[in-house]
Amino acid sequence: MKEENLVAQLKEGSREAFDELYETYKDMAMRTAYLITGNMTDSEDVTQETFVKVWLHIRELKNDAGFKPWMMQILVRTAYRTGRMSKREIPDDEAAIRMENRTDISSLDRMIQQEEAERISMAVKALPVKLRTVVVMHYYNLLSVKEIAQALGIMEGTVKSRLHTARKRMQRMLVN
Amino acid sequence: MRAEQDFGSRIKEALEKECDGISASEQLKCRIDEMICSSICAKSSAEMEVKHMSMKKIVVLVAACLLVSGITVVAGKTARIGVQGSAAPEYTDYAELGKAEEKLGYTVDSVEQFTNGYSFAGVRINELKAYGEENNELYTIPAMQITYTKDGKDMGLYIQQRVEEVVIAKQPNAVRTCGDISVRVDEYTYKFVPASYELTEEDKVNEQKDDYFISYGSDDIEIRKAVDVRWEKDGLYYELIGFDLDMDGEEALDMAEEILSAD
Repeated sequence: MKEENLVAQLKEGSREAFDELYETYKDMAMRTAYLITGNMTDSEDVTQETFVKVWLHIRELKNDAGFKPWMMQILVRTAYRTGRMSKREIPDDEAAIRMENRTDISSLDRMIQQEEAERISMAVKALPVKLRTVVVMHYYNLLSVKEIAQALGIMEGTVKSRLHTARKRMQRMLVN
Repeated sequence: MRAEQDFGSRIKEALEKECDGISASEQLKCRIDEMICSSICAKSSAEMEVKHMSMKKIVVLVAACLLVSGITVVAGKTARIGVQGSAAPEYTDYAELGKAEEKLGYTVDSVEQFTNGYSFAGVRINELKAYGEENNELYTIPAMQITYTKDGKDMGLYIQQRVEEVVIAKQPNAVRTCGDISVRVDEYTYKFVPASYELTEEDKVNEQKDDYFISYGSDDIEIRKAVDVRWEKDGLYYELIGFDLDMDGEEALDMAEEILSAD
């Protein structure tokens, strides 16, 4: 079923529509929350709060086709509000669980790729939260500049400027 | 440009790798389901509570709830406001306003009579309860409701302490500056419907407008126009509201200005 139809049904109070939208976006929400907050506990809390808010406030969404950026707006604001953004460390057990779920890295190429990916990830993590958020929304969630601007309530020019600054900072960090 | 695209692809790939293995657990869905169920129960119970209210009481409730409805955003944790108290006044003599202020705990600006003919009819103290998104009680504060009347039409002046910042998303119909205080006026349409009412296609279109609201809980279907004036002074929120008045926004702003000029 088309997403717009699901949103329309959700506005009528359909739990089935909610469950379908949850299935579509649950992992994306968890992963985005993780990339912004930096730890799994906060990611779960943020994802939970986001979907409960989606259920409670869906009638406030004016444009049914704009569900994803609207949900992202809720998620990002909830993530900002967790107030634990400074805790960047990943507990050892969390890291271990995640490594278990990853595909084994055996070849040299994969190791090099992995190393580069880790360096870029570190550079993203080192960005201030406002820059990190636009990077995650643009490169991970694949939202357009316009959609990010709507979700964050800022000008498109500000989004472009933050993306530019983020890229420059990351490039400097990677060179060093 | 090409280099920028390549770098973008590398960032995307790195972020995907970073998240590899992260997924929403079954327990998470259970917790979300539990919270949604409790919100449905709370909503049903609230609808039952207002089902047998008189229209007058519902109008009082709507006025109080303007603070946290779709019109406004409270920059705190409040999701909804509940009102306890009847619509009947406790004191009908303006000379007794001091007694109401004593119960309220602070003094307020008011007038006995407006130049357009609206005059004091009574005052009462209601209890406002703020609830969070999980229907948890956040705080309770007293709020004053002064009723003014003219030719069978009522206007309510609602006064309460500022606990949370209220940001109104809608653009005002007009704004007037009185000294250093900004007063705004808004006009809204309310459709009061029974709790079991099902929205028509026209309702769904109207509901998208930022000045149109459907309010559940009345016995009959009624469409009413509201004129709503608001300002903030000395840490108090003032709201003067009336339904189906023969009055434009400018006249309502004049009334607010008279209250602000009162000694």
